[in-house]
Amino acid sequence: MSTVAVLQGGRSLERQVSLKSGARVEDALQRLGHTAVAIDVGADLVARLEDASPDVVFVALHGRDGEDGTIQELLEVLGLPYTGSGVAACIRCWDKVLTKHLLRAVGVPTPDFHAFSETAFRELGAAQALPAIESQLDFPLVVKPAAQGSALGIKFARTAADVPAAIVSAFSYDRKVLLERYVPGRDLAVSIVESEDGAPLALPVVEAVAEGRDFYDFEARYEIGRTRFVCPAELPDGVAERTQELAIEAYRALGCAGFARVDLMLREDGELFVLEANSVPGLTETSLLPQAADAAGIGFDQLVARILAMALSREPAGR
Amino acid sequence: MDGGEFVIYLGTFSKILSPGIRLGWAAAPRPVLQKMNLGKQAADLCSSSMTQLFVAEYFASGDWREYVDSLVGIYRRRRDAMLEALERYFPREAAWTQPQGGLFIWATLPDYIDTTDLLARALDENVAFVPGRAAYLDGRGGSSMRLNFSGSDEQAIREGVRRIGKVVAEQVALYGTLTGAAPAAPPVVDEREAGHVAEQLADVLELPRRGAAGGRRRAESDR
Repeated sequence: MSTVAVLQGGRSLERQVSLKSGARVEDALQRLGHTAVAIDVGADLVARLEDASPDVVFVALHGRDGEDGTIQELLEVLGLPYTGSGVAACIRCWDKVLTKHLLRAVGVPTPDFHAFSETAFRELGAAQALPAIESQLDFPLVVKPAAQGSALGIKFARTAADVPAAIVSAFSYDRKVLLERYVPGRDLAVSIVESEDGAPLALPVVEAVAEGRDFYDFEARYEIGRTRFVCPAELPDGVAERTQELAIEAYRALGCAGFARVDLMLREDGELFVLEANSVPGLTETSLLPQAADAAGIGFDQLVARILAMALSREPAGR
Repeated sequence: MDGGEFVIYLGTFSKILSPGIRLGWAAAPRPVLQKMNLGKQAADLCSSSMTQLFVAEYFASGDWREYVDSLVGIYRRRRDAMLEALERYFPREAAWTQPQGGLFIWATLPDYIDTTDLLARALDENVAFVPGRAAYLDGRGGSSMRLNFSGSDEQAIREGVRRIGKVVAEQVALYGTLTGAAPAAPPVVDEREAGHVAEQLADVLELPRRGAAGGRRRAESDR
């Protein structure tokens, strides 16, 4: 049995979710007979890792640091095997602009978009290009920070008058923002876990259904109690399979490992679009990945065991 | 005290004695009190009887008015420090209350600034406030913030407001650039101001890091 350091908490805006994911992983590890060492990530991280000298590190750290490749880089340096994707894949998933460019390059459909840094607006007069962007992408359009977990800073601009404030909000979270064509349709998520032979396995599709809100109330989808999750999603024949295939294509294109979650939109005409991928999806009792695993007959302990086994089977260096 | 059937009067020792005491009083018509009792018991069974005895004893014997007077002096200086700092560091589009009591200033920014989002930027500067939306049930308050002047000394208050003012100014300038309302000129820093900033940098304050729960909008359930 192994000693497993469970990294959680940290300084990101998703600290609380991460602490819940971490606590749940610890419980599972103990039930599996491992020794779990909880580490709330802070300035003493390296010292605490050296102190614990774990066989493997379970990254249950969401948001900045945990999902942007920072922690993974540090673990590479320390030569410690860890769960989930490597440095490069984390960077690709964390930056939604990079994600979308990579998806586009391999032919995975993603909504049309334009992305700008703050300097483009401040110093290069990009504001003058806004009308052109707006006419290309149409209204309503989605404005979001290029990097940030969950849905922080995502705004929905219904008219040109809404765009500047939405951009200002998005820049609260990152130095780069994304203006994206809105895809009306159904909100789907596919969690992926690698099977023993290393092949990615797509779990049943989850649908997020906004409760009792009008069609355009985009923000409402991300507020507590306003969203209901259906797993497996009730989809027309063949759509679930197509969704899972596309999610795996995205997973491969981004170079993810171990596990991940891919978010998609199913447009009203049946076309699918990949929005983003999450390299350290939530593992709380109500998170989508555990729900999907459960629907596939994979209990939480089994899920944790599998994620851990994948981490131990891979070489730590050069990922 | 008798407000007849139509008055519910609530008071607290938190502001006049100590916030950790978590003790207060209520005067209300009997049926209302009965319901309040029920709610209170459901919430925490009852407040610590030991604490209640201490507080009762203190107010029966001690010169509590003198203590409150000293607190009033402390809070007045802190309020004044915050009002001065707001005047100095907040943009002219902002407005704020001039409280005659209490421990908070309510500041309202231009409506294109969302203070829930602004908080993320402020946290990068190690300073926090309560986004105004938390004060409403119907989504209003999105451009307002509640600033507390009770817990920090004058120097920390000035530095905190300076840091919030800086991120607000950035957003005001960016909005101006986006709407064409203002030219995208680099910020002008005159020498006096630069000297002032350098002085402050030399005297960097460690502001406590705060939890960022207020900035998290998406529930854990949809992670």
